[in-house]
Amino acid sequence: MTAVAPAARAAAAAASVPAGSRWFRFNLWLHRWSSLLATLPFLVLCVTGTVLIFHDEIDAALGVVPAAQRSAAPPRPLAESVVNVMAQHPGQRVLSVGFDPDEHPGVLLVSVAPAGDHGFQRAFAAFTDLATARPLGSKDLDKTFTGVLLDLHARWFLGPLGELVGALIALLVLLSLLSGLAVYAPYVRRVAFGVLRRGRGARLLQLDLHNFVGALVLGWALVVSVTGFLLGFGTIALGVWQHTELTAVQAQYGHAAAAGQPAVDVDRAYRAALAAAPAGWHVVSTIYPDTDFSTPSHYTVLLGGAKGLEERLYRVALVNAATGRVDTMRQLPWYLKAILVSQPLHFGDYGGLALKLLWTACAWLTLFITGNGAWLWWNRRRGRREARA
Amino acid sequence: MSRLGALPRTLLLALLGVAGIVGMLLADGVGDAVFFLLAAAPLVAGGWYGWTMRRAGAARTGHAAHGRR
Repeated sequence: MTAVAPAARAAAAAASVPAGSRWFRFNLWLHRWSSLLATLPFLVLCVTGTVLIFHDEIDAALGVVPAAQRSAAPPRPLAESVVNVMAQHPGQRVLSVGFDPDEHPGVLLVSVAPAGDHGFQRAFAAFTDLATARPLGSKDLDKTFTGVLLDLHARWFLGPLGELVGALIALLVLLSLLSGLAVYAPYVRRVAFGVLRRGRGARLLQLDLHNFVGALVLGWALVVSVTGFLLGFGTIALGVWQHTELTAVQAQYGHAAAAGQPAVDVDRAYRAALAAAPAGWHVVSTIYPDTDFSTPSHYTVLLGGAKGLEERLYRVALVNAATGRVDTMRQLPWYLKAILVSQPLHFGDYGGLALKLLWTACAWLTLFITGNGAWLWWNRRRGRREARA
Repeated sequence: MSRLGALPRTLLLALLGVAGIVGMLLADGVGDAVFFLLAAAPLVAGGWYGWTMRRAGAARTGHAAHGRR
């Protein structure tokens, strides 16, 4: 909606709307500059975002996650998979094991990092067949095609700082939308919704298209920019959780961490968490003790609900690695819930192919109004310069 | 909807879109399909407006041409 502002000023003046009011002029200025600043980054976000909408399909086509053989056999113990992975990667440690039965049935994802690491920054994924515990290969998911695109889209290749850059861009887009709406309001009082004034010059037609298409994608763009803004604070929110809730749990239940392998194996931790969870819930991931997301003496087990919002709003069970008991089962704090809910709402990957196509259409329509808004701004500047000459 | 002004119409479409997008995340089964229709409503409405405006424009052109004859 970049240059609706200058153009709207002329149209608004013609339509006797309060173009001279302070509120209108402030929004005009805000709409123009927030949009212009966000134009180029937004182009990158739209292009990478469109590809990322289909990351499941692209990853499947590129064979990022190997497929497990279909088997009716009961799954082997998780610990057996872990031992087999470690045999292939000596000098490394396991950070977590995870499951995705919907997208990758029968496959266990084991996160492996150099021994001594507590964070996931240098981790890579090793896959095993749950039915046989046999390794299926390993991959650094950050270096796949969609992994690199996600790094650009979410972090601008700048790490956690890049997430804040992303939040700033999302804020600019949000300001552009809201100020655009404030500028649009007086403008449309005398113009019928959806009217495209053809045959009266390219500028008027582009302005009408800008307003019309902008009105159609307003709801989608609001959702995506608000969630993009929230996602920009993902790393900070995790840090807050680590330094508040996780530290409090450690202080309450903490005891000396056993060196080396935990006394309780991952299968027992898995079963204990599942037994303590509400009916219908399943284990999404089990994080080993002594990582950034667990205490030195607890497994952190993430549990997801069966359907709806519960699927996204994990509960966290801290399983004592010495006794195998669930010391505490907690809901995530509100700020992490907000970020978890923002992920699907931002990427539109929760409603099948139809929603993905809708997301793509909205992304490209939004890109169109960004581009044609920039053209309207440039066209007006050129017109003024020519008038002065 | 025809009595609504352009701004309320824009806000209504935005509201429907947001309700559909959020509703799809919360609902399952039939609810999923209903909320998808809501999420797609702005684009569908846009297509419909575009088509009727185009038809109206074509009709006006046709009447004008007929009048000149």
